[in-house]
Amino acid sequence: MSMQLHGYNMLGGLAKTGNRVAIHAQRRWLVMLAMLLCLPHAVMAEDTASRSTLLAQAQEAYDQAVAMQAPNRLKARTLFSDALKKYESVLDQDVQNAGVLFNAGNAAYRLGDYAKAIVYYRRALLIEPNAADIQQNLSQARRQVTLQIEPPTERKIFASLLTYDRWLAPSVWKYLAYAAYVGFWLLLTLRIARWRQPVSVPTALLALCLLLALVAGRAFWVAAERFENPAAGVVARGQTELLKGNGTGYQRRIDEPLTAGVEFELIEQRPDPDQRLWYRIRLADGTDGWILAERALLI
Amino acid sequence: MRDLFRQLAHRSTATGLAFLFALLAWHASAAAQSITATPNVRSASMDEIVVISVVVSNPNQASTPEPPTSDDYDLTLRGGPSKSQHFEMDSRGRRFSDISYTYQFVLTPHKTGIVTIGPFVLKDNGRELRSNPFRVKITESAETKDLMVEVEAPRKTLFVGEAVELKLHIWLRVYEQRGIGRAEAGYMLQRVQASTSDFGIFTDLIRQRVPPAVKEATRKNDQGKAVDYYRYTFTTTHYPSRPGQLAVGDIRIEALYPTLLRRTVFDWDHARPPRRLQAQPDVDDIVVKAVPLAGRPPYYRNAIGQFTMQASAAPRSAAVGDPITLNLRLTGNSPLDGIAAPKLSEVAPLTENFEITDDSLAGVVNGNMKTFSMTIRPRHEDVKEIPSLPLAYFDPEREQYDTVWTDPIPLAVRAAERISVPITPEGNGDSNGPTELTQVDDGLLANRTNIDGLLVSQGIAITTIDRVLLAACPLLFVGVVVFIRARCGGAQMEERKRRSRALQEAERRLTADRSAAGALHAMLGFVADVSGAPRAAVARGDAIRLLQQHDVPSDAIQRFDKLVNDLETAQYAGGATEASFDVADIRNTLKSIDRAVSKK
Repeated sequence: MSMQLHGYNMLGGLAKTGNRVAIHAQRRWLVMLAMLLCLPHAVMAEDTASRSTLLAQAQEAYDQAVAMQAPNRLKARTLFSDALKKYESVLDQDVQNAGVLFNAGNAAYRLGDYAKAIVYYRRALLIEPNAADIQQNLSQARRQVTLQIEPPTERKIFASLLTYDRWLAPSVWKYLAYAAYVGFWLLLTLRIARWRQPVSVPTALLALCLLLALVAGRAFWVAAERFENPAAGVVARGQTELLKGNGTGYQRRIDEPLTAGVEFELIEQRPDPDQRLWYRIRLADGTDGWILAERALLI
Repeated sequence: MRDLFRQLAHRSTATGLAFLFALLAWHASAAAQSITATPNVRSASMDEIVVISVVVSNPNQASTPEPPTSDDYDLTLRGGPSKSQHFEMDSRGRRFSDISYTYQFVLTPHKTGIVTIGPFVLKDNGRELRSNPFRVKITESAETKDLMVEVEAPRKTLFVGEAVELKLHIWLRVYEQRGIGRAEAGYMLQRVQASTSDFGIFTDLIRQRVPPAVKEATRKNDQGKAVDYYRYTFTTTHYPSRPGQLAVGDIRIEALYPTLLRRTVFDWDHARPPRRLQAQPDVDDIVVKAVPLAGRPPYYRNAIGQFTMQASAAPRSAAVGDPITLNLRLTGNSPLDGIAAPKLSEVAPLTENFEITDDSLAGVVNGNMKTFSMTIRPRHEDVKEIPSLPLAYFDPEREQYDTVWTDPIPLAVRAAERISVPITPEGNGDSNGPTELTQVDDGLLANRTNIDGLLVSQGIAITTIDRVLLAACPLLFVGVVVFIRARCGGAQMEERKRRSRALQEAERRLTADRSAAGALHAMLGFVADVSGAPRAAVARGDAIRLLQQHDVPSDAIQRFDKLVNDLETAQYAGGATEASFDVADIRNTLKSIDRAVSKK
């Protein structure tokens, strides 16, 4: 009997303890959930603070370097290099921002690395295609390239017509595409469902929404693809021979060696027997040939 | 009882004394100086390494013991001593330390058979300590060598200053074991003991962790039997600096060759101690000579090998004094790094007609081609071409000098234009009109400095959220449709179906029954269907009222009313057929009503 009583008490105690444990467990879950929800924000806040510091330091170094460029070139160069490293450090943290790319391009330009500057400016233009400051500095960097290759005029016009996606920023295309897409489905739902009172939705409006969604979606898709899988690049080092094949055994394609900063369109990549990667490129005037991948930067 | 106490006291005193003696003896032994020599193996072949560890305990000063000398072997010290020290404390808290230094000597035997080693001698504060001698059995090398080292040069005769591509081949026999199979090339390469090996002129490659080229190859052993090897090749460019035998530095490769392996969770492990092998290359047959002075041509710029040179220039048309970029491309079969640019300032036909700004460029190597770029400026408009430019080199194959010339490049040089700039006094303008500002294209625009703006993510990648949103819309649409249909129920669905098929049903009735009664039935039924009213309950007046409720235009209602009236008249007149009323008019009226209702 005493055992039973003891057992009963014990079970009752366990039950009470169990309830308390359950309540504590619930609270603990709530606390953990709250922590889990807060954790990403805390990490993001920390990242943001660190990036913010890096950007501020980079800007300070850049400003100091610009101020002392004439009297103390060596020191200015060190500061520009420091600024560039900091901007690149921010970019390495998976930050995609046209402003940071633009600033990195400016620092590279100041260091005389026009090829890298062009790469940064062009990458920034992928995000903000109509930014006047980026376009102007890109033109300035392009003017420094020794070998200027002029594209044929008809090609320019044709390219401009085909690439309507560059008329607006990819983010604008994205919002347009989403608005049209959501609008299309909303209107279709209204039209089909009719609720209690039938809603009249003109077919033309539906078609317009769908067309806009497709056009804007395609533009955004193309921009995203161009950003993720670059199909263009810049010759990074001077005296780069454009050859007829992927190896030093091939003849030169053109007589003049390519200089740093010459832009190209990437057609193909292929290794040679020594496992060195080669790019098949097309220059602005349509000439195509092969260069060593290590002598180029992709945008 | 007293005896018992006496015995106990006697025993405890004896025990205490014994303990004290033991402690003193231990302390004495801990502090004693000694030297011992122990080989890692007692039997080895000629191509194996015997490492002798000499341990010196508690010396007054750390001095290297002297190895024994003999014609039968050499003993060389490998690296500095490793020190070990441990502390003990007695019951009074005094601390005793025991220090030992371990020196490692490598035994290189000169003959096979039993070799007696020792003793190693340590002179310490006037005392001389000797290790015990020991014996090692040295056997002939196996017929099949497990480790071989070779240095390969492009030719047996090289020249001072020549850029030579030298290759260090390390051959390791492919280890094979039943149950485990063949060891992979990567595993076998790890058997090479880089820390204890010497790589001579290839040391930088090892330091920079340049991976060797690996090839599986078969070689024949002394008995002519084919043996599988892994060949690891390191390649470096070497510039012999003095005549004589090729100096490649001290190259001695050590490897721990497995004797029995077992497989562990992550890797293979030695189940039996491996053989410590060493091998050295033989470079006696590679000789370095000095480049001969006799017959050395002008324009020689240390190029040794076989070369061709081509020149190109841009632009081909220029004014006097304009810069022309001259590119000289040197192609050769030997490394081009050390070859200097041709000294154009010494080429008289060129310097007569052109100004040369810089001819001391380093040049850029791209594969087997080296390009020198320089700027030249035509001195006068009579210049018609860039003359042939020479490059002299020494051909080590033929052991003689040679000179190659580029082709002349035709040029069109015109007189320089002179621009006269009118000098205008400053501020001498009497015009008060607006001034047109001149934009300066040169220079950069300033950075963007809004940190908040720079931190905004402008990523244009297609994210998971995007994909979810894309999928969510049609799913939501389907969900809404299903929900509404479920909520409306069968009756309402039926009613809606009836409304949507009203015109179709009226058409069917008109076609089926071509009498006035049939047409009347079709018209009133159409209104009932459109309005959701029971068909039998809709009379002419009801139909008009229902149409008015649907905001059907009055002209359509009037037309409908007239038609119904005509049909009723015809029906009551009896025998009215299709000929007495216009079916097309009925159809058009119903269509116009249907359009009006649908629009609403």
